[in-house]
Amino acid sequence: MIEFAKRRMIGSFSVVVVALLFLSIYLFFKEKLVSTSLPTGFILLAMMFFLVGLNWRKRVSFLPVGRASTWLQVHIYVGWASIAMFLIHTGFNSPNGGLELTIAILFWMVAVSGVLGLILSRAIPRRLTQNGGNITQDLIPKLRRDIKRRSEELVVKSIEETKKSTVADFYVERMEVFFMGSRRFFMNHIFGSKKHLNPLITRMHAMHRYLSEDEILIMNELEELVCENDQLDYQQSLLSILKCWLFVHIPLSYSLLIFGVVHGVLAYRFVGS
Amino acid sequence: MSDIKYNRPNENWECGWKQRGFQCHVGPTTNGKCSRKGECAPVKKDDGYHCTRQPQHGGKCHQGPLPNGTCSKQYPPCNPKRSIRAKRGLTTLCLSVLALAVIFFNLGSTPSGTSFFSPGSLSFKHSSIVNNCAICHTGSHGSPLNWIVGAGVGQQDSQNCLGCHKMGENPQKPHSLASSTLSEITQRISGGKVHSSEIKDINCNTCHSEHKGADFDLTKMTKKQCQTCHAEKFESLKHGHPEFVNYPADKRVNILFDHTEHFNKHFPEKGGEKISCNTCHAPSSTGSEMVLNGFERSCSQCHSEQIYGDSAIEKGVVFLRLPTLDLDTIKSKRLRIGSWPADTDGTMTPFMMSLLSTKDEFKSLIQEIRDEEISLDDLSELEDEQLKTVENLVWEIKSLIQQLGTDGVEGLKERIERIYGKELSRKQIANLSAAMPVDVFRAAGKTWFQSKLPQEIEAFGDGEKARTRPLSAPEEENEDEDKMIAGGWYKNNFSFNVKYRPTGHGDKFVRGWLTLAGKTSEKMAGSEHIFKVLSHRKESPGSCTKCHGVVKSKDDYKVHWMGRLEKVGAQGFVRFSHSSHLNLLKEEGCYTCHKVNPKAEFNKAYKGFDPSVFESNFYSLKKSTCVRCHQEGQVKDNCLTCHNYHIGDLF
Repeated sequence: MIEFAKRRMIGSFSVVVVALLFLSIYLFFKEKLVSTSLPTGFILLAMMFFLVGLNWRKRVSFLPVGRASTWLQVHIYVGWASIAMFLIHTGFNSPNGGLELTIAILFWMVAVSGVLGLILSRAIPRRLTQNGGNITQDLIPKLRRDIKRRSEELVVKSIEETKKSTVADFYVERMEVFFMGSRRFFMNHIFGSKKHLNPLITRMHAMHRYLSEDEILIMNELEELVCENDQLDYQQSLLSILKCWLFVHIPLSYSLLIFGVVHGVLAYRFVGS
Repeated sequence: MSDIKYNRPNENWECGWKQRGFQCHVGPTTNGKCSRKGECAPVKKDDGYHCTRQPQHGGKCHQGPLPNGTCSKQYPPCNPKRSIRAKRGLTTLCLSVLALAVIFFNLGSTPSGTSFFSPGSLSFKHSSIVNNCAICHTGSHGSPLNWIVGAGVGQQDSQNCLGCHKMGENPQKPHSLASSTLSEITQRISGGKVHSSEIKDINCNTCHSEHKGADFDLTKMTKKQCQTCHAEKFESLKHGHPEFVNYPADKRVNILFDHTEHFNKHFPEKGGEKISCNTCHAPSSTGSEMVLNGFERSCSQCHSEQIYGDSAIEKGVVFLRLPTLDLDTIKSKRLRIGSWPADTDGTMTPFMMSLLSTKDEFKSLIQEIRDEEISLDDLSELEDEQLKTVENLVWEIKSLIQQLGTDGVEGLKERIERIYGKELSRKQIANLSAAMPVDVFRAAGKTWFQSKLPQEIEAFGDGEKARTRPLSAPEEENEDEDKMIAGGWYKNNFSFNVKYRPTGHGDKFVRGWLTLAGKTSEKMAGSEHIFKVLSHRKESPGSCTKCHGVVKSKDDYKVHWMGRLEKVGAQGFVRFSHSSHLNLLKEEGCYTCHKVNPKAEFNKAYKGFDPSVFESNFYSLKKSTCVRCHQEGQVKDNCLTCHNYHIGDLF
């Protein structure tokens, strides 16, 4: 297995070489008054079909067509090469026609979302690992439910053991709502902010002066559960971001492919011999 | 209900309770309905129904199945939710349908569809073509749906371009030149080293790309693109471009004007030291050429007298003259020619000889007279048969005078058409006759033949030839040709001739006859003789060919009546805008580029008729003159800055 850094260097180098090769061939034929629109267009269309193929590869996982991770790696580098080919195909000009403008807008949206997705898929797992390890998104509701159950048990325990409702009142008034939501403080989590959490923790600490020692112990346990729940919210926010960009990248890729095929047919029809 | 134990990421639906942290282990149906099942499917045995809950789900329950065999622990119903994958798939499907809808809507509609599928707006020059693809694209009639039907067929749309853009006879060949011409040029330039390979047609869109926006320059080409086909390639005008050869004067100029002689000799003599280039030359309307200001502005001051013939002994063209006849021999041989002046002195003019060649019997005699093998003033050596022909020729001369005196221009037209073999246009006969007055010829016949001509011709028509009778000199006073200062027709009673004096520069009579007679390939009788007389550089009336060059191609002579003109629609390989460069000239003026060659033998070349033999008054322009400005970083030096691609008569 080639290590990641080395693999990325080889892949990036290959993309640069291929892009320069395309550019050289384009410039050579342009100076020879040979139209490069058709060949570059058809190569670009073939690249798009291949890039969309990753999505189909995941659907037909039973077929022996190579590992999904390999497909993803090639998908990334072909994606970079397709950007170079797109620029060459358009002659580094902005399109004029309605169809071509639509294709260009879609292409850049797909390309930018792809690049963004690549960045996110590199950055977010690292942040997740640094803040609580790997939890799948499917498990989060269950974990959150467990935390809520444990917190409620602690509140009941405080009433039973101390015969006072101070902790229970505080829980109902300030804390219960914190354990309810699954998407609360989304933007704070994205940017790694704790400003939603700190006031609650401060208030919990402030409560200590009114509590007995047993109640303080329970309150400390509740504080741990609050932090644990906040960690889950953080994980869920980042994991939803990690899946969100695909809602732009994949649907627009298919639209781009449809418009691209129509453009190819028309170009072949009208380019003249 | 149980905790989440496993996931179904590939399923489209998931349990509605999942977000609460628990779900049934059965899951929704494939169409998104809650299965509403129990935790197990009880099995009926001999003693009733038994629980079958699996150990991983808690094992057999205490309650056991209900008496009717249903599980006692039913899952609460839920509203199944779409999985993330399903939501993404649905979004993809919606957007794909939307894309197809946009395409099909535009395919079926015009003009919005045409506008949508158009790859861009047309250039400014084609902007009048709006939503009509079929004007340029073959077979793209109707809505865009029809375009797809014919997809896959490469179209030759260049013919549609040529419907408006006339590019000569070889529009799709390189440089719009015939393959043979191109091959000749290639071999000439390369000295025979390079032979052009098979020359194929080039489509217009090879060089001219449309749909690039209104401001796009359709004719923009790089240096390398221009040199694609050229065997010898070079970097720029400064580096590699061949030195100019005989540029711009690579062939004889139309007007025979010796610059050196005029500036060094004639202008100083006439006190014209202040005469400069722009006295005679001015930019054309487009500024591309320096054309002549014309005769009146540039030449008339000195050359008008020559044209009017003020200082010449013979001021006019002798059109008709009674030839001297050997009356003694005529009499002794008893030839009957009627009355004839005894004092005539001269020969027949070339015009007469041509006009008399209408009958075959005279052609050989006239040719012999023209060749000076026979002279009408000495007929003593002729045989009787030849003398008979001479007798008839004399009657034909008299008939000619009578005809011109009665029918005038109509008579002249009839005779010219017979010898020319073609019908003349009104303009041609107007030029050739120069409004020839009937009175001049009628008076000439009356005076010279003492009023006997009509009766004699009438009798001759009846087959009766009057006997030979010499006439004495007419008593009528002669017309003084010095008084014919405005030119025109007049007779001379002493010389027995009718003359035409040119009316000035561009005289239509002289020009008309030189043009007609110059076409010697037309085989008009005596045309070469007429041309020779009228084109004599010094002795011909008007001295046209003193300044207007004469060239000969094949059998025809052609007088260049016009100086350098701007040819609208005609393009050569080189283009140069004089007006763009005039304000760049320094104190040297035109001499900045046009250096005089004092040793050039300019006039010598005009003694012959070969236009390729020529020595200009000026040295060829040097490439270095242009390179001073036209180089990288200064003024553009693209090929198309100075060269045209399409060559020939273009409209």
